[in-house]
Order: sequence, then structure tokens, then C-alpha cells
Amino acid sequence: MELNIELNIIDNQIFVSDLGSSYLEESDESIPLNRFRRSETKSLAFVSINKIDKEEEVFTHTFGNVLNVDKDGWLKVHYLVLPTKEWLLRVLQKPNAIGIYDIVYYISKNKVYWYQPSSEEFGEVTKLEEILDIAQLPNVKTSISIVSKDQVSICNLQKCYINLCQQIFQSRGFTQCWNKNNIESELIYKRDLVWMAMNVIKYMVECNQLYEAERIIELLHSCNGICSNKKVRNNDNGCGCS
Amino acid sequence: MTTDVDALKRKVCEEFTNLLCEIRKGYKLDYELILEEISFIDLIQNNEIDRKLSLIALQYYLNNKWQKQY
Repeated sequence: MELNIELNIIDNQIFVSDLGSSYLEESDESIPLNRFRRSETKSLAFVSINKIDKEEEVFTHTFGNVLNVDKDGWLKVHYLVLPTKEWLLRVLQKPNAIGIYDIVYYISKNKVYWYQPSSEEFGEVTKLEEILDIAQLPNVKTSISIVSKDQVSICNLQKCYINLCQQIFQSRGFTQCWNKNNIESELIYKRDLVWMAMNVIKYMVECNQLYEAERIIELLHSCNGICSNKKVRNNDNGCGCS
Repeated sequence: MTTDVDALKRKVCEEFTNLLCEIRKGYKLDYELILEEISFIDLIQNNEIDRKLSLIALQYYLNNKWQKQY
């Protein structure tokens, strides 16, 4: 089934919106291969991260459309749509209808199960990441629909920038005894670098230079980088770097 | 004009990457020009600048290389 989605990232959450996938009409009783009514499907989403010099690694998943992402970087969202148990029970009532599938995967109560029509066996998928590999197997007729989209996240970088701005503002600014030279020049330097990085990453994403964008993000979040991997809190001494 | 703005964005990306390389070597360089270029790109994209002026300024920034200062 052809899926058409849009990703929006707000405050460490990715929202997946369906822009009009090829679902069947709700009144349609036919059972074509890998096409379902919207009411008889559930979605499952994975997020993987592409690190420089490392393989793509899945680090979170959700049943539904909202993904919590606590990492910055070049992310890949894999959005899957599977039929429900109710769809399977409806199809099994029709003789030979299920035979068009080699193996059926369906979701029930936030778990993924499989059913093999040839042997009439059921089972549970214990490692959800395996679904991603199965969905991409050629010449295997399954009930999985999948679409993958790239998304570059800089939420933690933005928080780092705001944190630095707040520190500069609170650094004895706007008081009677305020002297501009009292503000740590190092804070201003870091703030400017982070601001430049945020804009440069935005330009690189526009030019589809995702690898280069990831390189800059890793540099800034590295152990001695300006914004480390630690979670940024407003009352922290810095961006997490000591 | 869009092509020139894209060219300026590519220039900024290259300059910033070079700046990061120099920082990693331990140098602290003047980056005011890069800040100006980014601010200028924002002004153009938000239509906050006169078209004639923006063309002149665009050519200035495209032709003006960010110099290393030690």
C-alpha cells in the first residue's frame, strides 16, 4: 500500500501525519493484496540514527504517530502500517481470500503477530526491529506497508543555544553595576558558534547534504564539544560540557 | 536571485566548516563576516530588504572571502 506521510519535529517529538495514503473506502468489502480500510489498520514507527562511520541503528519505536526523540542527528523514520486482528478474522471467514499472502503480519494490543496461511500457524514477533528487514524483502507477499523518510533533528542544539543566551542574560546583565566586560567572552563565543551551526545545518539540509549536517552535529555534541550529549537543563552551569 | 542566495548559503557552509577545522587546531578566528552573511540571508528570505540593495550586498558577500586571521 502506498503511504504518503509528512514529518514535523517539535521539542524532541516527531509527529507523523498521513497526507493521503491509498486506503480502501470504508464500505469496500474487497480484499486486494496489501490494501486495507483505514479503520482496520494500525501504525508502527521506528527511528534510526545514521552516525558517521557507524551502521544505521534503530533506537526507538512507537505504536502510533508520535515518536519521542532525545537525540540530535540525521534520523530516519520508518513508518509502517499493518492490518489489525479484526481484519484478519474478517478475511479468514472468506474462503481462499488469505491465500494471496505468503505471510500475514498484524497488530493486536500493541504487539505484532504473524500468521502463515499455508500452514495455518500463528506466532508473535518478539524482536520488532525484524519487521523492518521483513518489510524490505523482495518477492515476499506480506501485509506490511512501509515508507521511510529522513529527518535532521537539532532540538538539543536549540536548547543549548537558549541555555547559553540565558546565561549571558543572567550574567549580571541589566543591573546598575553591570559592565559588559564582566560577561564571559567564552559564553558569547559558544553562543555564536551554536547559532552559526544551527543555520548552517539548516542550509545543508536544504541542499540534501545530510552527511555533512550529521558531521557538524556530532562535532558539537562530542565529549569536548560545545554542546555535549548530556541533557541540557536551564540551571546547568553550561551546555553540559565541563 | 534565488540561485545567488543558494550560492551564498553554500559559501557560508564552506566557511563554517573551515572555521570548525581551525577551532579544532586551537585557533580562535574572527567570524563576524559569517554572522553577517547568515543575518543577510535571513533578511532576504523574509523579504525585509530592498531588492536593489540586496543584489548589491549579495555580490559583495559572494565576492568577499572570509580571511584567516592569526
